[in-house]
Amino acid sequence: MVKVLEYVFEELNTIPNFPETAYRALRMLEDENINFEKLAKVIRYDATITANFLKLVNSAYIGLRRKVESLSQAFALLGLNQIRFFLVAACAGQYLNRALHGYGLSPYEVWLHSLGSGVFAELIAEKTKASHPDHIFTAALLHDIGKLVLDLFVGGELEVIRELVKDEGLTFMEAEIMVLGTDHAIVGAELLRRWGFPQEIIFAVRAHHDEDWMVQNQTAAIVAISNMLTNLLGIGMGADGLSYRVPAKLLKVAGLKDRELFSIITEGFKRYQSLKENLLVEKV
Amino acid sequence: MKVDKGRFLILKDVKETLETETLGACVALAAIDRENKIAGLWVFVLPAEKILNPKVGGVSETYFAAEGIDSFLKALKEEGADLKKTDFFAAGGARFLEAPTVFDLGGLNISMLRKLLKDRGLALKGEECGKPFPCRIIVDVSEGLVTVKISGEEEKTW
Repeated sequence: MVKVLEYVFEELNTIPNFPETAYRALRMLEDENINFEKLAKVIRYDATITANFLKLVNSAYIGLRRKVESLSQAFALLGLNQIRFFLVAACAGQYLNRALHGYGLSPYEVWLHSLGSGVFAELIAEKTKASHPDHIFTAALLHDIGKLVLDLFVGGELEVIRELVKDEGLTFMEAEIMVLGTDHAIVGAELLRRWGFPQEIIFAVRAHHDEDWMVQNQTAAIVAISNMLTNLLGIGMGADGLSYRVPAKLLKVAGLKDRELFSIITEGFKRYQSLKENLLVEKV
Repeated sequence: MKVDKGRFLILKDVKETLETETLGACVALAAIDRENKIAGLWVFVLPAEKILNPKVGGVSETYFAAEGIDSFLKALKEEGADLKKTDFFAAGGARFLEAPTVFDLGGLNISMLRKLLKDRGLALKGEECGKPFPCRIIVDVSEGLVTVKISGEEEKTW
């Protein structure tokens, strides 16, 4: 197991850094009196982020009446949180666009799962008037980033992991730890720590499958719920599926009532479908 | 042909397949009238609209089991299916290992489907529901076969 862990951490070193352009832009977006002309100048240096950003903005779910063709035009129409959301989503797309064979996911499904979780996180943060919506949807969009690193190792041990889930009643994450010595939430959190993300985001990613940790604060609870709802709808559902436990007080910590959950599923599904239909071309 | 969540498709006597995406807790109901060579596939997401609090507008009735089932059965009949000779199969309805009832969407969906069929004098001939792993269903219209694929398990064909 020690040998496997060494390989896992070697693999961690091969993941490229989070784009500097995005860091600079996110830091600028912390200022509510931001100069949008300056922001546009920073972002447009990265053509991929700019193109992804505009594609996302032009998805139908935010209800723009005309096509947005420039960053300045987009900034004039969006709120600060929407700009942050689309910026992180545009960057996440650069990482979460490859097949995860170990988890049984095509690049298209990996990307859809990230976007779906981000959409649910944004919606729940709105409904609960959460204090750090930008941290919530950033963590949700990046929550499975550790799967990029663990994929190869999970693929080799998938049958053993599955047997532990089926026969021993372990969650997929507990089985990952038992077989590999780590799990995709720990690895993802370590990656975000190296990238310099805020502690609240790192914690939420670390906690998203851990039933004790996910109820420690609202951000972690909302991120965990967003992932669960995305999986309940089968959106980019990996080999781990629903092999997890849901703690009783999760909704309460998130600031939601039981009776609201089905409306959130429906509203989130509508937003997600709109995003998917307008943005993505299937590449299975 | 892909059948989206909250939608159904019905085909008659064609060399074509109907298939779902990964279902999660959504449930797919496949209907096959082999004699008349008619097949239908419907994927619903929630058991009934009345559980929405608050209401959400702009959602198709076929997103809900209770509101969508009669539209699905009516469309099958209009295409020429004889419901008494039609076999029904269900898949999906994934469930967490442990969860409060409100998160047991798969369990709620499956129970609702069984009740709705029973109320109409119908029943499932086969089902593969409630496992925590990814699941899809494929209906081969011309061969009259229904195949369920659950991640990590052998395919099952009815």
